[in-house]
Amino acid sequence: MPQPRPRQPGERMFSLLLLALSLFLLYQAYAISGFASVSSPGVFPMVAAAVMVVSIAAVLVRERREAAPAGFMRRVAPPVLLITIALIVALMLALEPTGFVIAAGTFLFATILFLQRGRPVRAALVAVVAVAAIYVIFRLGFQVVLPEAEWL
Amino acid sequence: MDGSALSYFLMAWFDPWLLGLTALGTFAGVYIGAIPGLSVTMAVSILISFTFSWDVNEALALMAGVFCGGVYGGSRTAILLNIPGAPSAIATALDGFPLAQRGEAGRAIGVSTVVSVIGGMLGVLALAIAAPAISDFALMFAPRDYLLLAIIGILLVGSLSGESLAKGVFAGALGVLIGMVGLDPLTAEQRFTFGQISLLGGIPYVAAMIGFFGVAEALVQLHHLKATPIRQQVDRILPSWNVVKRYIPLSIRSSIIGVVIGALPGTGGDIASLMAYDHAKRSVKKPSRPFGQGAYEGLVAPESANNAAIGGAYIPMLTLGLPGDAVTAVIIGALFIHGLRPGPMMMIETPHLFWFTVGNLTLANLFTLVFGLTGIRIFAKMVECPRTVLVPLIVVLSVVGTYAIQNSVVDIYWMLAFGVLGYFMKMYGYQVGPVILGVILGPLMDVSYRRAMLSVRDEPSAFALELVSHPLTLVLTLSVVLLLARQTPAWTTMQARIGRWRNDGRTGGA
Repeated sequence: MPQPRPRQPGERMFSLLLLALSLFLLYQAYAISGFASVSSPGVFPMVAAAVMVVSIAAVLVRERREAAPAGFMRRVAPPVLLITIALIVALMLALEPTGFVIAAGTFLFATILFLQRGRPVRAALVAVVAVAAIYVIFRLGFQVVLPEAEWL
Repeated sequence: MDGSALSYFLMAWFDPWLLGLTALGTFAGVYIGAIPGLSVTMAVSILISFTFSWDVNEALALMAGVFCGGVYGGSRTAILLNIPGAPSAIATALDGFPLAQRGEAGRAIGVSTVVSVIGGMLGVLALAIAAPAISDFALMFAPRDYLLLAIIGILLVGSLSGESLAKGVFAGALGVLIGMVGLDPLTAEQRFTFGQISLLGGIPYVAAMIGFFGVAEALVQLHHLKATPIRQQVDRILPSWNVVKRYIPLSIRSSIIGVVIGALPGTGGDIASLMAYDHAKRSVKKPSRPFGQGAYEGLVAPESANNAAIGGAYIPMLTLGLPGDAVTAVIIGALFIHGLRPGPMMMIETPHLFWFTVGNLTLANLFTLVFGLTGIRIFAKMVECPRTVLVPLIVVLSVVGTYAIQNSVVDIYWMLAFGVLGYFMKMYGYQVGPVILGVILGPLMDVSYRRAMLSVRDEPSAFALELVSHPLTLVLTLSVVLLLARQTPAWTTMQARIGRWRNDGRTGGA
């Protein structure tokens, strides 16, 4: 059977953020059509948002006494995660200006190099083979449209 | 099965292209399921976008292959590395890895392949027999029944697969709201669009699926970069008939559990395999070895059940349009894209699709047998693919897949946003499966609820009466009440009391 999950730092903060999100969505759902009738477009969203509020409140109540360990940045959002997300954001921003081949190739090279801490030749090799394979299989084989730079 | 049904059934068998796609899907599925970090749900989500311009038969053939191969593939890494390649193989590792440690990895893989195929075939058989009957029955379902079934689905998956029902229900409701964004299908009023034109068409649910299952999982894998697989010696894998024969009764019993759990809306192979393992532990009096130390029974039960759950999961999907598990939720998304509405009418309007799927799943099971018993050496190499390479590759494939749907970079932003949210949800014990279930079920629940309300002229009291005055609806209402009641402290206290009372009864008589 799966082991019980150890309590993670930042859990209460996350629940509070979800509570805020749920309350905001409940308000937005109310704004759709208020209580005009029991079958108006806003009723079901309101019910769903209310369920979110109630369930996250239940989570908060249940976890109120459990002390979470410290070390959010180390255990939940370590540098490796933040840097990888930053690299993904860079990939997204680069897709349209440079096209898929350059953006994805650079992303793969940089991310593999970063994750395996070195060995640039291997990283470059994997990046080139992977981009070539994706291009051949998906662009040429499956006829999938990949982002392309306009100036190329 | 009449003549036309048989010809639909055999469609993928005699068309070389469809046959090839099913084989390719199964082959790819075995590796996708086996490589920790890649999941069937992830693969099928990404495949939707690659196959949406194809003919629907081709897309379904590939997905059925990946589904069958993938559920089976998870067992290989569970046996060889003690890492379940897929959630449905968690129970397999309990006895599979001890077997490998005893040097019986080959035989364990062989037995698990054979029982997986037995389970898979029984699942397909159940689908072929039950679905037409349920579909006829489903024509009598009123909108309120669909609403209740969808609620049961979310409650079931929330209470069985997650850490707590509250977290599961939260995830389901979040998915429901994601599915609500855009124009209301009945009145065309805007919901949660914040005045943005790009939101009028709703949040692209494929972006949400790829975000939650692809990117979020890739980010979680960053915590396991250093895990290195241990090499195992693999000997002969083809099991002898005598060995197989011994486990057939257990395999059949576990398959029945698998079909039933798979057919319940929301719950799939992961839960089925754990329940079957538990059943084996209780029912097998003399296992080949004690459970947990390399009992073949502990391998046979979960592997039969999780593959049987595939056919089971297709039952509500094809007959009611309700996903049987997370993968079928994604496949429903694929059918939407192809302009099909799964539900009781689909069996009448496009009967070929049903028998085609049955034929296809049968074929995929046969391919599982072929690929399961061969190619073990290449397999060991591929599974050792380091996560430092795997994680960036999943990200790139997710980006390609998301972009392919509408050729829009905005969808990729959605994908990343859902990926990051999914990462934190996973870290804090929320399941992402209910979210996708909610995305698919949300619009259906909304429309069902409002139709039900309109049919009683917006009278809440009349609606409440409807919930208890029809036999079928009453059963469904009671199921919802029971599922909710089980989570209350009063239920726990009552159970404890009954337990004590029973014990007292026993000891009192002695």
